[in-house]
Order: sequence, then C-alpha cells, then structure tokens
Amino acid sequence: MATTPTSPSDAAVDYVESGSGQGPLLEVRNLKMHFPIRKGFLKRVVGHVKAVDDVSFSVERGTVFGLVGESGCGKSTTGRCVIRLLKATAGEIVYTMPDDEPVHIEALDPESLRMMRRHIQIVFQDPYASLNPRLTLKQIVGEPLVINNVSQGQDLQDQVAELLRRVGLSPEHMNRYPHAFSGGQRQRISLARALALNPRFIVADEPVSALDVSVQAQILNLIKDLREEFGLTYLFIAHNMSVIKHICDSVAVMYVGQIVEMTTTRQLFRKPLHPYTEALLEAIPVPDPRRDRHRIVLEGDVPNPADPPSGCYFHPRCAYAQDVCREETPPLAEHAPGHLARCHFAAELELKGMTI
Amino acid sequence: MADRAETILEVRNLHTHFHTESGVVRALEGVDFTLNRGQVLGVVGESGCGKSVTAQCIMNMVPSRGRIVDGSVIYHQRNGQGTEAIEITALPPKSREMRRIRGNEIAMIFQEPMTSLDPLYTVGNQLLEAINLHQDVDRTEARTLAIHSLDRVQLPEPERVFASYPHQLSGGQRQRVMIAIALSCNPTLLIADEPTTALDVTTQAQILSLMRDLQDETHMSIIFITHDLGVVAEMCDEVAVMYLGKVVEQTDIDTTFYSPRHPYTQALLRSIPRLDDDQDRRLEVIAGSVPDPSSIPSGCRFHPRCPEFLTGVCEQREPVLVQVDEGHQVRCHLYDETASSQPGTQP
Repeated sequence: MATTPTSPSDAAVDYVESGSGQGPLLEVRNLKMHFPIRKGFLKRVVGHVKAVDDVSFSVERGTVFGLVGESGCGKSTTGRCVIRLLKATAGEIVYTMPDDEPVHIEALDPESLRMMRRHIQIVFQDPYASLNPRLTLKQIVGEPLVINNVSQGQDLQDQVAELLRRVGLSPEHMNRYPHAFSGGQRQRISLARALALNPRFIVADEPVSALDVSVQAQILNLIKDLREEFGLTYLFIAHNMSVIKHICDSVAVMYVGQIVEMTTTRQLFRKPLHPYTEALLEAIPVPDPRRDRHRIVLEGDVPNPADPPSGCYFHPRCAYAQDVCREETPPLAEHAPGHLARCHFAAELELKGMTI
Repeated sequence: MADRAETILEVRNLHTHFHTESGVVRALEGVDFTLNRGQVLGVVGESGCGKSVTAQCIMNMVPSRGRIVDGSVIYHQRNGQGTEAIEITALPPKSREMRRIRGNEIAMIFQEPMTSLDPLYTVGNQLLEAINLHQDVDRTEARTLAIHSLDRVQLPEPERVFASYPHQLSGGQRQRVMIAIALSCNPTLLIADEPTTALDVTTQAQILSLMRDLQDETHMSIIFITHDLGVVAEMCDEVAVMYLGKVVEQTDIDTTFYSPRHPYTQALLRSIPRLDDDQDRRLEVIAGSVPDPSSIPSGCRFHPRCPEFLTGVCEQREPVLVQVDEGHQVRCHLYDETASSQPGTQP
C-alpha cells in the first residue's frame, strides 16, 4: 500500500498505470460468507446461512462482469464482500494495483482499507435510501473529496461541478437536497459520488432496478459511457437478464450461494449449459406479442439457504434431474473453453439458448 | 368467447384529484378506456402516471383525500338474460350495493402480497372472511370452498397452506393466496395491480402462467396494471398506455407493439433493453424524466420530452383522444386533423 498517493494534490488525478496492464483487475477465490443462526437464551449458534459458498471469479480490466440470480442467491452479498462492507468468512479477494502489485482486500487493516476504497466504489440499488436527505448535492458528492483531503474551498466546488456535469446533471443544482430529484437523477448523483475519487473499479448493485423504464435506458447508457471515458471496470449485479445482456462482457449465474454457470455473455445466452440458466432465460417476459405465450415454467421456489437440498441444489426444480443429482454435488467444471457449469450432465444436455 | 364485443367496463373521462397540504394533485386528468367481456386489458405506464389510482376508482376505493371530480366508471353486470349498466362512480363507496360489487363482481390483487395479507391471521381465516361476507354458505361448505380455491391456484398441500400464517409462505405462494382470495367468489372482472413486480423472474413466470390458465378456464375479464412491457406482451389482448394521468393510446396488443402511433408509446418501446438486441446498440432514451404531478407541463403533457414536438401547438393546446383506426385511439396532435389544419397554429 506504500504506493498509494497520499498528498492531497495527486490523489484525484489519474493513476499512472505503471504496471503491465495485463491480467485480471480483481480475482475472487473461494469466497465464503456464512451468517450464523443464533437461537435461545444463550444465543447459541445452531447453524449457518451459507449466503455465499465457495465463489470464485475474476474480472478482467476494462470489462463489465455480471452477477445474476434471483433474490437470496448471494449476488449482493458477494458484491459487498468484494469492497469489504462485509468481512468474508473465508476466501481471497485480490485486487491488482496500477503498478501490478496484488493487494489482498480481505486482509487489509482499517487504515489501508480506507486508502483502498479510493480505487473501489459502490453504487447501490435504491437511490432513495442511499443518499442522505440532510446533505446537499455538493456535500454528498464532495464528501469523499473532503474526507480524503483531496480538495477544499473553491477547488472542491469546481470538482463537484465537473463531476455533476459528467453524469449529466446541472452544476447549478449543487446546493439542492436529494428530495428535489427524481429516481434517475438520484442514481446519477450516486454515480457522481462514486466517481469522485477517480476509482478504477465500481461495484454496481442493481443500479437500475428501482428506476422507471424510460429512465433505465439513460442510466445504462451513462454507465457504458463512463466506462469508456474513465476506463472503468465494473462488477454489475442484476436480476434482469435483458439488462445483463446489454451491459456485461461476461456473466456468472448464481443459485443458492454458488456459481452454477460462468462464461461470456454471448456464450451464456447462445448455449447455456446449466438447466437453471435455461429456465432463467425462458422465464423472461419478452416484449413481443407474436411470440408463443405458452412455455415451460420452472416449478417450486428458491430453497432456503440455511437448509439447502442434498446433492445439486437445483435438483428439486430441475426437469433433467436423475438419481445422481440427489446424492452428489456436481463440481463447477469447464465444459468448453472458458465456459464453466455446475451440472452432472452439462456435456450431454441440449439446452435451449437464444438466437443472438 | 362467443360474446366478443360485449362491453363489461367503460371508463369515461375520469378525473380524480387529491387535496394535499401542498395543493391539489391532479392524479387523473382524462382516463378513457373500454374493456370487453373475457378480455385482458393491460394498463401500462411509468410511476406516477395514475395506473393504481385508476384501479382504486374502478373499485370505488379512492383514499380519503382524493375525489373523483369528473367522469364515470360504468360496469355492465350480467343478470339473467341481459346486462344492467351500473355507474360505480355514482354509488357511495360504503353502500351495500358497492360492497356487493366488490368481491362478487370485481376483485382485486395487489403488488406486494406481504402487506396485503394480515400477518396475525392464518391464510384460512382470511379466505373464510371473504367467502362468508359474500356467499351464503355454512361453515363446512365455506371451508371446502376455501380449500378448493387454494387448490385451484395450484398450491401444493392446500390443507397445510390453509392453516399457515403468511410469513410461513414464500413470496410466490403468498401471491397465489391473494389470487385465491380474489377468485374465491368467482368475480367476472379481476383487477391485478402489478401482481408480479415484487417477485423473482421464475416465480413471475409461474404466476403469469397461472393467471393465463385461470383466465382460459373462467373467461373472466382482467385489467392488468404493470410497467413491464414484457409482461404486457405475454398477458394482454388490449393495451391502454398512460402518461401523467391520461390515457394516451389504446389499441390491441399487436398494434401496440408493431405500429404504435403515440410518440410516448414509440419511445417507450425503443428504450427497453431487449434480449434480441445487438449488444453494442445504445439504448434510445426518452429525454428527461416524468415530471412531478404537482408541476404538470402545459398543453400536451408529454411535449417537453417528445421527439416530435410541434412548436406553437403542443405546448399550447391539450390534445384530445382521436380515433385513428378501428379500435385505436391516440391522444396526440399529430393525428388530430382539426388541430394541424387550423390556420396559424404552425409558425
């Protein structure tokens, strides 16, 4: 961490990418986040909710990596562990600094962690809950700059104005409070705040799912533009497959705390290898009335992560399940180059993808 | 399916205002649509467009600060041979007649099943309440009916669900319970207000498929309120698009998606991310955002965001609903011949 710029003047300027620029920007290895279940007078631990159970992935520089799944699958928990809003139970989170030095985020002491957060920022789902209603835009967007001693006075004012302009807001509104803004505008404010310290990596946790349809498109385009303009890398968490398809380069599908399939977006949509991915694709309502409305519907509900089924977690809902699925947990194996799936029959099943 | 063109519900020029401390909020300012018996009408729009208030007006359940100031909702009730037109908006909300219509004739399901079920009562209790209020049956019959309606919404082990409390069920199961309660008295019209918005995709697919099956079975009419155009395409026969308290376009489902006329409908369709998109395509965007209902633009309410805005016309005069084709109404100056042919309106 000695290389992190500490003087106020150079903290906000572009980092010098002195390293080779090769390899992944972020690597997550065997990440586990188990929440204890406590019961009784003595609050004894009677079990664990395995919210994230042995998740590994890597995010290449300048790409958008998607995490998709239904509620309770652990996608947001993974995102929070990555920027250490939650301290993971086990596993490694390795971030590559601009000079190629790897940093283990899970092992950072509080002081280094604070430095680290200049590189990694997060944008939350609900723009109504993630902005302090008692602070003005200038205070919200300027807060990271003030805390990190980057700028003050007129300098701060100018930087906030510039940030607001970059996300498409008018700098004259700097002294207003969040309640004066619509959902889409608030999400722009969140993005401006995340960009204040010139991060290289942004965790976007369902950034558009609370927004109106016509505003979603604006924010998705903005996220794409900012990526090009600042060379950002994103971990993009979403439940909407159409949004994932639009913005991500590669995707991991999660189910009950585990990654069940991981590959490039194109490959995942064209040729899914896991029955759950097939079901997810099949379940999306398609805005085309001429398409056949009757189709296969997945039965049952997402299992309770405190008490997952035996064997393959998906077997009770899987149309292709056989005896082995009930008994043996399938490994996440590579079935095609760069295409991993956690299914005993990934090689044999002919699953339905989309023609894209 | 025999009586194709028989109207079941007419909403005419509905205006509903809310009197709040910060002034009058004009939530509905001209909602018109017709629903035919046995059809599924989608009411689409973004937040704040008045879709839920429309549903409340049809049920005659406008919250106390709100008032229906103009327009009418007419329900055509079948009795014996013919039909009888009942003007719902003329009935007092708490009258015996209105209570009979709610539940027996028109039922409703809401977006968030957790907040519409009472956590202190079992599912069975809440189902029996609806049945006992609306049907003249004894206790054992009521129980049989209740179990049957749980079975009808494809809940596994209906007996167990009957004895459960809402928190013991998953989101999808709760929404099934809501549907069971709504359908327990065999209504002819069902209003579904965003019934799948709070659910996961695979659960949403289950609920949509269930509602399709039930509609096939009972031929009930459904008003399906949603913001999701994908859901509309899957469920509806007709679509009414709303923007800021007005219906801006109503037509059949195919026309809505393949040849919409109103610039708002067109823009909305272009702005949604689609699965069959080219990945590098930039999404087309509707400029700006939905204005606050307390500061509504003059003239056509969509004009500040409209790509086809005509200076001198759109910001000055309110467009009226015009018929552009059979069964296709649009509220836009582009299609209003009287507006564009008038001398001096265009610079």
